[in-house]
Amino acid sequence: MRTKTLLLSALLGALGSVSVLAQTNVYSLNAVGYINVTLSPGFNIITDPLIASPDNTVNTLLNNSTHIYNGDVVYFYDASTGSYSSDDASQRATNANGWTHDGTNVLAPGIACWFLNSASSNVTVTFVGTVPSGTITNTLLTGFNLVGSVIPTSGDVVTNTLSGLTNYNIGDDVYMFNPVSQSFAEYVSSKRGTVGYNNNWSATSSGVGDPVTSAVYEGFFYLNTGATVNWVESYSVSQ
Amino acid sequence: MKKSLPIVVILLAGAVGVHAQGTIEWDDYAPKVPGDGFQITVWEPQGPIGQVYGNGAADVPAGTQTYTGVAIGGGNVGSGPTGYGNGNDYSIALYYGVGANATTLSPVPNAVTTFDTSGGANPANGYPGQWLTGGGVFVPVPGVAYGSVGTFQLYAWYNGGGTLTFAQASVVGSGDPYGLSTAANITLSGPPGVPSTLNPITSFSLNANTIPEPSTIALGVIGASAFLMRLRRKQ
Repeated sequence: MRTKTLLLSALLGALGSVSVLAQTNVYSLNAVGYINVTLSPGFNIITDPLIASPDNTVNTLLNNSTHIYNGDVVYFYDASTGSYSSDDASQRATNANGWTHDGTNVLAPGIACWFLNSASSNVTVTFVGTVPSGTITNTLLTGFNLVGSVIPTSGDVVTNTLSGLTNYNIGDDVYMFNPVSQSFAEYVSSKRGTVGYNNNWSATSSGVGDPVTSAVYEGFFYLNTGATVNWVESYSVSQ
Repeated sequence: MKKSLPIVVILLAGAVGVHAQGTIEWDDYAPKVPGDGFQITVWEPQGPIGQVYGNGAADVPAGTQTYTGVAIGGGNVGSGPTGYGNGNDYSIALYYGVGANATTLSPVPNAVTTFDTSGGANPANGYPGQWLTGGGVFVPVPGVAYGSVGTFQLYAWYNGGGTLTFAQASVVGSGDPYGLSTAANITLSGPPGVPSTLNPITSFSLNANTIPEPSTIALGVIGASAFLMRLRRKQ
């Protein structure tokens, strides 16, 4: 299963992070891994389901001190205010990290952002960090939310055994963005749905069935048309 | 910069009810992917030919318009109407109207500032003619929802050290340089798409706003009148 494969790959290096408290026989096991993110020319919606060190700011994840990202832009969306913020990688940035707004936006697990790749070909960036563990709730507010899975998993967003988003409101939409074609596929949960989980997903739009992510770093827009949705995901190293 | 993802507009119907008021990124400038990035430069008056519009070779996207003199701001010391290098003496604001081709425009709240004054020949420090350096300033546009079209236009003027409004500076013959960009119809895109920018507004120059000289026609009328009067005297 793709999910398992992904998590297993994330476990690489886990041994180095095992700490043992001998006297109490309590063990702490963290899964450490990396993700290679392929950024297509133009717009991409990406997420980082790893806890980076020292933090998940743009400054840490996409440091532009050598100006390798000049011309690129990140856009973050605040669901609570319904507003965007952005940061430009630019030669005119006066900050040492090469971002005009100091790279302070945080791409934490569960959050996604737009990344505008100004290059004419694919660019690969690598995210490194610890796999989030335990039961984690990603709160999806009414309106648009720019999100991704909290844990590094891909596939069917609704029925995935680790990250299943099953408590959606009927009427909620998922907008998956294809960075190659630079176009959206819209997945609609509907009482009139005929496909996907509980036959609740409609094929009347460009998407068919449950929304599916093709990579662990792929984020999406979730349009919550009702009350707050708690997207609960859980993972433990033993899984 | 644009960032117009045309397809986004199609998807906005469901979004309008959630966050009805659209926003626009009004200071975006940076060169980005072809067809996406853009920047606007505002120039000093171009002499007797009046205002000039259109992107130059150094703009994004590149154009064929040529400008003379200096761009507004950039950190050079200057004062008064001819101190075009002093960005603090010049304001720029975004105006808008509801719908396409609106003829009555109003200022977009919080979309006014002065020009860059960082100066220097190094392009990392000085960007004459551009009014902010970071991008990322999103302003709500009252009455224009996501997915709807508004009419947008940039107003720039000499502010007399912060004392003159656009209305005051634009009084004909005041000697205070001012100028307007061409107006553009822009669809405000929002989530799930990326926000709209000022693309396709282009670079433009101010006009000197001096007292108008008699036109050729007026001179002709005066000359003809004098000629007729002379004929009448002879008769």
